[in-house]
Amino acid sequence: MLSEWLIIQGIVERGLIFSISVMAIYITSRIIRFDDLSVEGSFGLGGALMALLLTHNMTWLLALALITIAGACAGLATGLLHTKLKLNNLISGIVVTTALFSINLKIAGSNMVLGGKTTLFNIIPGVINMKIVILLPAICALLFIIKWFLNTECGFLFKAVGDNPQMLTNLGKNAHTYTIAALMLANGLTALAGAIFVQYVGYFSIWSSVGILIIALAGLILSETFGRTFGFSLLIGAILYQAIIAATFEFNVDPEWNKLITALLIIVMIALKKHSSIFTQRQS
Amino acid sequence: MIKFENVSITIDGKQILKNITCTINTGDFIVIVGPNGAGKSTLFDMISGKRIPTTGTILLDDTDITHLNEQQRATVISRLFQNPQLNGVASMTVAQNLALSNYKSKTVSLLNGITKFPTHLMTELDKLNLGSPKILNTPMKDLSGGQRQLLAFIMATILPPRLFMLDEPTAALDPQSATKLLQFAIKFINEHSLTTLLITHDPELALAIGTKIWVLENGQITKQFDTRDTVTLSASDLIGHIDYKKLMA
Repeated sequence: MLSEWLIIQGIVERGLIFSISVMAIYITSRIIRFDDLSVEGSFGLGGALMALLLTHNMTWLLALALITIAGACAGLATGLLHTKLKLNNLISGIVVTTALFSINLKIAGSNMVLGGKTTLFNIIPGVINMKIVILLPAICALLFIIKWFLNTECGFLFKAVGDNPQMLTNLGKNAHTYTIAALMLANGLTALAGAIFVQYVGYFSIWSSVGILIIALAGLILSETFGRTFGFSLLIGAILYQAIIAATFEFNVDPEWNKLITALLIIVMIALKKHSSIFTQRQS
Repeated sequence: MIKFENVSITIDGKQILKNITCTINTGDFIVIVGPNGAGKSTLFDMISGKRIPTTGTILLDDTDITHLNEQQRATVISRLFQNPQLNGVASMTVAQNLALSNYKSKTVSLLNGITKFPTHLMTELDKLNLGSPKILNTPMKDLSGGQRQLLAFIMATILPPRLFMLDEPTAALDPQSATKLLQFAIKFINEHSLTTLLITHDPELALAIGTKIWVLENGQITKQFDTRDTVTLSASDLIGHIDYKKLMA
């Protein structure tokens, strides 16, 4: 019974961490409608920087703030490549992710262990094995902040830029500015997720960021069966994805198949959405 | 007053607008007619700033605005597109779109996005059957083409612009919706003495409304008429019209 609870707890905790990336993907692909691949690099950047900064005795809170800014800079780079050099969305993201892979290697090498450094999960004594106690309120707070932001005047312009950039021009606003701002927000969030993940597992691995985009996308697609607005469905989708992956362990599936399973899951979900009424798209 | 001095636009080596020199006076309501490919939409793109002239100068009250981009010119120029998709945000509700259109020339903040909803327009919206809570909470994409263009008109004129451009606004509408939009638009334009440019393919409409008619052909304004001329002009004098009776004879 205890081991089952620990498995469920682990699924929820990982789901909550990855839900930050799902929120980021929601902002890029559903709000500004920009297929941003740079989130893959930003997740690794967040992890690498967190490992480096913690091992250099920076406090985790300051490190998280700096890492979010660093992630936003990655989004800025993607945005500038797209808006100023007119690179295609996908190419801009691939260029930034590729560059970040080398940068991340230089920051933290292929692996870096945090050792006994104080992390986010040490703020409540004795909570080290109950990370959900910290993650759940923190992620819910983050979700509420972003949801609030998306309903502000700035948030309205984010929605408008994805749907009809001409509308921003009609209003005398620079559509590129809002595209870049949204990319900065999304990449800042993903870097934050990477930084929290490293604290969660206790080490950085350059390979942990590989496939983050597809994991987040899978979480997003799963979440859309519960609702298409920005809300708790994103958390549920991310947790559900982790549950599906955990189930494959139960069936003794080699973890090396995880990425293939994720890819198949996305294909199946999209196919079901197209052909089944149970996945009829809900209006936001 | 907007003056065009010897303005040309070349796209991919092809000259679309050729040495156009003309003046739009304050209060003018100019209807632009011309065959397909004459350069009407390019003329609008040039005036709005979407396309910068290859040669020539554009003056707004003696200020050179030739190199101002579309975003900068949007503070004084409003444009209603033929394609309703370009006139609003399809996924946002009518109320959200109306609030959004009121961001024009204002700094945006972290206040709730709906705060700038133009409540002073409620009477007008009610008259057009667009003011009910049900409609206001409907996403723009779920409205009829006529309703969308009416709202787009209201949104484009929320701050009466110095120059208002309508690019075939009724092209995608049925006759009833087109009539409703034109009635509302003409009344609004006359009441506010808006300086207006209207592109249409309908010569009858060109003769019925406006204070001037420009005929654009092959990238040049080849004929200009004013209200005195319209008394003696016929539709075929402009760009020709389809005589359906002859067609079937």
